[in-house]
Amino acid sequence: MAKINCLIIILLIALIDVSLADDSSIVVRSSEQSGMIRIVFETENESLISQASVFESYSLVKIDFNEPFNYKGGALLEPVKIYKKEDSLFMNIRNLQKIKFVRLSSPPRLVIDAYLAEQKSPPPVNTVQAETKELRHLVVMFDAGHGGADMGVRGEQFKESLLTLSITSDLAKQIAPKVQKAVLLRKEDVQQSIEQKLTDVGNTRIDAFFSIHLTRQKHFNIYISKMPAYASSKVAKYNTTLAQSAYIERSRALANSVGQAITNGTKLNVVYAEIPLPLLSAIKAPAVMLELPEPQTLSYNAETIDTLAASIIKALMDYAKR
Amino acid sequence: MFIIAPILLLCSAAVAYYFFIWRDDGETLSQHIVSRKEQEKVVDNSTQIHIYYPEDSELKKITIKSKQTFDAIKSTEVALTELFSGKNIPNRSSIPADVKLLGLYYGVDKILYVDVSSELKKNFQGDATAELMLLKSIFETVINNMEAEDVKVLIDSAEAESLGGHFYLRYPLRRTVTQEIVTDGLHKAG
Repeated sequence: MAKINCLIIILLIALIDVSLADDSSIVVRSSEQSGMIRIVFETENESLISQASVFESYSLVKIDFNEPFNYKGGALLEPVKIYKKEDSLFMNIRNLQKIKFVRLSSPPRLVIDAYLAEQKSPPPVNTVQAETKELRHLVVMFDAGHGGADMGVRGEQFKESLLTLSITSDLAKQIAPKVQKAVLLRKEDVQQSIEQKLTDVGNTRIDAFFSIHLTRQKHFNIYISKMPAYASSKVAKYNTTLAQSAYIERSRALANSVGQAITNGTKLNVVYAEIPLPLLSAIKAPAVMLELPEPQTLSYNAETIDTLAASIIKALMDYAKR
Repeated sequence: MFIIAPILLLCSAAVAYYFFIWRDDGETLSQHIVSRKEQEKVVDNSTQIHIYYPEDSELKKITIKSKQTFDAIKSTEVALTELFSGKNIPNRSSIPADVKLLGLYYGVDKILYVDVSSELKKNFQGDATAELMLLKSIFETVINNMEAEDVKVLIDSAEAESLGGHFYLRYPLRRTVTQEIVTDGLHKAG
């Protein structure tokens, strides 16, 4: 009898534990209704929902729950990606225009309606084909700066690692139809060491490399690698960390083309610099690092992404013509 | 014999007086004053410490006085502590907050190992130029206060790959920070 009592007590404790654990669990579901995606975060813990703050920046939505929780995931539509970081969830929604949110009870839930921008109809195919014919053989790689624990520049409503991931993903999608291939070096919010990135780049034949970062300045920075004086020596030719020395003039030309196109497209200033960046220095292709102004200076909406994509395509065309 | 000895003693005393006390060597009064100032300098128990700090895309220098020490590593320790605390630095926005200097180790290869707390990495939020300038400021602050061939930064006593994700910390800094930065100015829109 005593054994049965003990078992009952253990079972009860286990049940209480499970119910307490479930209390701070959050599940998500999503549905689509004519140009709008509804994302619902549901939990048993009412304070999680009542204390939650929602921030929006370009295609990124941050939900700060202000206390620890257990994110259990759920059914998500394709344009939505969710990452958990500490007490917050970060949502990337492709072509996001604006959001509306509401807190509901029984059960406690946070409902976010994400309104998507209408996709612009592409220009006539024959014009595009004529303009971008030179690009058909190019493989272009985009590197989203930072990632994971290395968050880069942080603002109240954005993190460089997530914003660059979202921007590069959109740029690659827009540029992919015009080139042979647009490749993403980082597809998830994970930390990659410089050496890991170089190993991954080495596994793909590429014709142009763009590393996308943010700056706190109010202008764009465009960097190419500064090669040391001895880089042109015979010994340096066998040094893989200085592989860029064979492409430096082409990188300079590409940087100038990108800069001119961005200046014309965004009406913002551009500063060019050559600094000894180890990632660019080891790349066997024209390589450029582009630092974008932070979101307070330039709003990264669908229009800005279009402009940036058009600038990169224009620069690649100028570059290909040379 | 007894007379010669005191005479010799008297002569040597006279020669000593001539050479060490009486002879002026033509020194003027002002020269005496200068030498007195130099003496004061020696007596003054302070030494100059040079600190290089990043401000935007430039490196600026301040010089402070510290208690005199003949140990160059101690001077460098004072300089780096000052750089990270930023008490005398006019604009410390480019220096991460709450960084502590954990130790300095001078290797046989004349490399100074600068061991700092993880706040240097955690609280750094700059772009590529800001990262390069911060590394350059650490390097310049060290080599301007002591004789070191190179500088290597350790985070919490361990090797780290990078400070802000743009440059290596895995290798000593000289090769990265002494290369001339080529900037092509501001290309204005419109």
